[in-house]
Amino acid sequence: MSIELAKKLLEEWLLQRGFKILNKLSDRELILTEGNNTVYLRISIEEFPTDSYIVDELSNVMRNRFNYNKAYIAFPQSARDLINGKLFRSNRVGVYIYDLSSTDPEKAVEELIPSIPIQLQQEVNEDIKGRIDELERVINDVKNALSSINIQPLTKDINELRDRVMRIEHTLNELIERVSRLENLGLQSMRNSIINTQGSSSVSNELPDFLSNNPWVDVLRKRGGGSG
Amino acid sequence: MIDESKYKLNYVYAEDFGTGYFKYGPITLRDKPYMIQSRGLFLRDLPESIKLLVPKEVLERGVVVGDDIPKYLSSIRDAIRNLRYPLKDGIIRKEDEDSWKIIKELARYGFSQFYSDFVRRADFKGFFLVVALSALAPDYMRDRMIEIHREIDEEFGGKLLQAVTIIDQPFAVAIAEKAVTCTVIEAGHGNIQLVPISYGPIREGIVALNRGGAEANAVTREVLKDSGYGDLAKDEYVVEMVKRAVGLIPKNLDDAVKKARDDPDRFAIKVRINPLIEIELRDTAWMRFLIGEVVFNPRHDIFTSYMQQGRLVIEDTTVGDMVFYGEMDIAEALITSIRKVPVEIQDKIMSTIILSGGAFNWSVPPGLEDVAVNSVDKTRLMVSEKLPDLANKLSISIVKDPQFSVWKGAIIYGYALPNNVKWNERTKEGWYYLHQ
Repeated sequence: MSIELAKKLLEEWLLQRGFKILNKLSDRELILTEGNNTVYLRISIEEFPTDSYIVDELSNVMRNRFNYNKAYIAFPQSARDLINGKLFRSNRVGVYIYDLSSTDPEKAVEELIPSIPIQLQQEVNEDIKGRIDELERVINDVKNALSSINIQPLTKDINELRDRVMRIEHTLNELIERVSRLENLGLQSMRNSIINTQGSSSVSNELPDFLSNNPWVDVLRKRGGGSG
Repeated sequence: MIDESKYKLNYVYAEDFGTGYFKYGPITLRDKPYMIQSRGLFLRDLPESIKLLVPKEVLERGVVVGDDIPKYLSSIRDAIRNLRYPLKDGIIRKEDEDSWKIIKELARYGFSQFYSDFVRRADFKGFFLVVALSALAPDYMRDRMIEIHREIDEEFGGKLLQAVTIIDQPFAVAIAEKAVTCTVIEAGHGNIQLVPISYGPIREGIVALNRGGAEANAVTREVLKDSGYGDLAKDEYVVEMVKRAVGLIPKNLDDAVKKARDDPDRFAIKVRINPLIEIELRDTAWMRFLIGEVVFNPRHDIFTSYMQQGRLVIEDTTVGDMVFYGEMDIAEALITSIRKVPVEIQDKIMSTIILSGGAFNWSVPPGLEDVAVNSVDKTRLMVSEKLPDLANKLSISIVKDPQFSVWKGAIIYGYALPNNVKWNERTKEGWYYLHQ
C-alpha cells in the first residue's frame, strides 16, 4: 500500500473539512490545525493489522499525545474490526478509517472514533524560566535597594538647595537693581558735574585749556568789527 | 562782550559729522566730546511682534542711532540694507533722504542727552551751535543742516538753540592746532581735502582728491587676493585690520619694492585676525608699500596696471562745481592749492602744513626705517622732490588729537565768533539766528 496515496487521500478529506496542514513530522505523521486545536495524525498503512500492531500504533501516538489538543490514527479499512473503542476513547485518541478503493472521495474516509480534545500541558521553557527567575531577582534587588535608601535626607537636601537658589536669585535681583540705580546716579552726577563746573546759577569764567593762548580767539573776535 | 563770553563759556555746542564718528557736546565737556558711530538703523523690516515693544515716537521717526542700534539690530530682517553710514564720503547727496534722516537723528540723539539739564538753568537761552562739515560740502548741505537744526529746535519747544553756524572741518583743525596761517590736509575715508587757511579758509584754494582710506582698503584687498586670501578679501573688517597692520608708506616705491623682493623674509609679516585666522605675507610682502603709497601717489605703473585690469578704480569726479582729482599726488595737490591763493601769502601758507584724518595714520616698524616713512616725512619728501628750495622751510605736523581736534576747533570757533556776525548767505558764514 502506498503511503503517498493514503496521505493524499486523508489530506484532501481533512482539507475539505476545514483542517489546515501545519507541519509534516515524517512520511506518516502530520500536524494540522482545526480551529484553535492542534491535531496530530498518524497514518497506518499496514494491510493486515493485528491487535498488537494497533496497540503499538496507539502507544506510539501516546508519546506525544500531550503536545496536541487532538490526536488521530488513520487505519486502512482492514483494521476496522480490530479497533478497541474503549481503549482509544480512554486515551482520547481518535480513529479514521480510510478506503483507498472507494470511488466516492466523501466516503473514502470515516471518523470512526472522534478524538476528545485535551487542554495542552504547557511546556516549561527552561530558557524563559531562567529569564523570569533573573527578572524576579532583579526586581527583588531593586526593591531591596529602594527600601535601603533613606529618601528623607535627600528630600531635605533638595529643599535646602531650592531655598538657596531662591535666595541667590533674590540677591541677584537686588544687586541688578542696585547697579542700575548706581548707573543712573553716575549718569546724574556726571550731568551735575557738567552743571557744577559752570556753577548752578552763576557762570564759569574759566577757559578750557584748549581755548587759552589760542591766537584764533582774537582773530575771530575781530570779525565782529573789533568790539565782539 | 563780557556777558557774551560768559554765556558762551557755558552754552556753545559743537557737532563734528565725521565719516566714522559723530562727535558732539557742549563746551563744558572741556577736552572730550561724546562720540557715537556715524550711522543709523532704519526700522523698516521690523516684525510686528517687535514693533509693539518700540516706543511710538521712535517708530514714527523710523530710524535709531547710537546705543539704540544694538537694541534693534538683531530684530531687523535685513540689517545690512537698513544699517546706513550717511557720511562715508563726507558728502550727502541732495536727494538722499535716508542719510538726511540719520543726520537729524544723530543731532537729536546728542541734544537729548544734555537738554534736560541745561533747560533748567535760569540763564540758558539756547545753545550757540557750531556744525563741522567737510570743506567739500556743497552749499545745499550747509542750508539743509540749518534747516534740520531749526526743526529739532522746534521739537524742543524752540528752547534748544539760539543760533547755528557751520565750519569746515579742516578750518576747525587749524583752530584747534592754533595755526592762523597754514594748509590743512584732511585725509578721510572717501576723499582728501587740502584747505589753505589764512585767518580763515581760502575757498578758492581748496583742492579735493577723490581718494583716501577707501583706496588703501582697495589695494589691501588686492594684496590679500594675490597672497591667496581671496575669501577674506571680501570681508571689510579683515581688510581694515590688515591695512592697519601691514600697510607701509615707502620712502621711494621702486627702491622699497626692489628691497622687499630681494629680501622677502625681512618684510614678511603675519597678522592674527582672531584665534582661527592668521594671514601671512611673504612673497607678496613687497605689496605692503602699495597700500600706503596709493594715498600719496597713485600714478605709479603698478597702480596703472591695476586700474587697466579693473582691480582698482581711481578717477576724477565732480560734486557740485568742485572737481575731485583722482590721481593727482599729494605734492602736486598742495602746490595746486597754494597757487590759487594770493602770492603774498603763499609762502606763509605753505610753510605750515597740518595733516589730519585717519588716512594719514601710518607708522614705521622698527628695522624698516631705511625704506618706510610716516605721513609727515612722506609729504616732506614729495614736496621737496618738486620744489627742493622749499623743503627746508616746511613745517609739517600731524594733529596731536586726531579724534577730537575738529570738535575742539568748532567749540573755539563758536566761543570766539562774536554774536553780531550774522549769517551771510553768500559766504555761508556767521551766526544764523533761529528766533529772529
